[in-house]
Amino acid sequence: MHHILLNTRYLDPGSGSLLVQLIAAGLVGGFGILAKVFWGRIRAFFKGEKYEPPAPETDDDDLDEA
Amino acid sequence: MNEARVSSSFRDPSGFLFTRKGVLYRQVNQFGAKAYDKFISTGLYEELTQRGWLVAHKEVEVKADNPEIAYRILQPDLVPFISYPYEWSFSQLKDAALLTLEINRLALSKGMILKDASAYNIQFVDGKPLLIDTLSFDIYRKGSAWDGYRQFCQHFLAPLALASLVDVRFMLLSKNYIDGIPLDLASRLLPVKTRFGLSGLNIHIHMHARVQREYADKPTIQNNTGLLTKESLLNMLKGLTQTVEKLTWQPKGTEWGDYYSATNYSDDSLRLKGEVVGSFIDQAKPAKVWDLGANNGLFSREAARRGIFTVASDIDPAAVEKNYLTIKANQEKNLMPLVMDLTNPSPSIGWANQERDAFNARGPVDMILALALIHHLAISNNLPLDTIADYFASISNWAVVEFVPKNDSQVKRLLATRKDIFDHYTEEGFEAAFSRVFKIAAKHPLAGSERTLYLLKKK
Repeated sequence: MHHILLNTRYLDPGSGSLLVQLIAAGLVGGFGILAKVFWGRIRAFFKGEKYEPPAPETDDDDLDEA
Repeated sequence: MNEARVSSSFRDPSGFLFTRKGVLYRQVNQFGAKAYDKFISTGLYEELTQRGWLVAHKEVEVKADNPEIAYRILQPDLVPFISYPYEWSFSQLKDAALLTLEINRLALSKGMILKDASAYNIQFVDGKPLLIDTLSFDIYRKGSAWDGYRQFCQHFLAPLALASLVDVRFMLLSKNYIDGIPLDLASRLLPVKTRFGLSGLNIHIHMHARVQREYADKPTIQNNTGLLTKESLLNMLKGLTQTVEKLTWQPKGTEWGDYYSATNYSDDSLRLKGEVVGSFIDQAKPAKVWDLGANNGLFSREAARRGIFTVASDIDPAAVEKNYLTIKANQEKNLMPLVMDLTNPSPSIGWANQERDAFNARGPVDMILALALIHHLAISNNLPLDTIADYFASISNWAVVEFVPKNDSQVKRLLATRKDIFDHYTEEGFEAAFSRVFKIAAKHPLAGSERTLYLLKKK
């Protein structure tokens, strides 16, 4: 819950909008993450499981310090 | 009221605006403390203000009303006139959009990110867009996407695309949708040609609208981290910038865009009119002026170049666009171009009708200019002269009004296709109507025309 204190987001980014960002970024950047998300979905579908999104790459307190 | 929270300042728990004894302050809450500290310590604040991209502030020792949640109190510099995206010309909205993206890129280089992309966070000062929300910055978390992306598309991209590719009047649609144009609506209205391939509009509007619809009630991505590398995010921002840059609009073909070149005003009579307006301004010495029906701001500049802050409003988006582009090209100061239909000025909108002020509520002002305007109000819009005089007196202490009589060619044109029901539309009728609420301080016939300029002082 640490990140709640660190992060002050208040807008709902919207699931659909997040997904489109991935697509847009995928088209100009790497397709890797996108493939991961969709592959996860497809696999979950065939296994009849509930899809779990990929875990965050970092811990909550592993902030990107510039 | 001595103290009040600014009524539009409620969305973000990081802080809010309030006024006390007429001074505007911004409170930073404990909730936003870490982000605020990083915003200062990384030098982002300094760089943004040096570039003139963000409003400057000073931290002040003012007692908070709610010290248990308060972290800092800031006193931001004041913007001379608050305007809204539905009052901007095309290039104003476009420049505001590009600035938002630029700021986000700079923030990312300092380990921060814009947490929103509201067009209402941008204001114009001296012809340049300026971010006024100091608390729009959050700490960037590695792998996260941009929370403000949807808002950016709704507030900026959709109206710009509609104005550029369908009709510039869609700029006004934002008045109806305070959180930006719904993307499904924009998608339905945009031409078919925008739906193909990997074009920015296809992705950010059409696909965005489709995916939104599909995922409307599915919390598919609970955790906004680990999704995007910073490089991909920067690439996406670059793509958005390119998409916005490609959207253009030429200011022509509207009613007034070529007004001065299309009328038979000679250079001499324009110059004379400017001199008279200037002398009236010198006589009244206003601190702020609103030029109503300013066209491209020719006469607004009589005030602006005297160092007087002047709003140059006009109903015609082409005239306002030309004015804005001129201000920008010549780096002119003290001018604020504004698209405004005076017969239906901006209402107060938003929650409890208190988020965005009506045009009138942003007054009163020291002086209005109403040049070559009265015949449009009285004849085209059937407004009685008394009513016009009352309105002017309600928003201003001084008024410079040009009376354009019936034998003027422009009025003849307005009357050519309709019955003349305007018996009181005479110089005597004008003076009688305005003398009810104003004193005639000066009167100057314009040589070479039938027109008269009046300097009126509110009684």
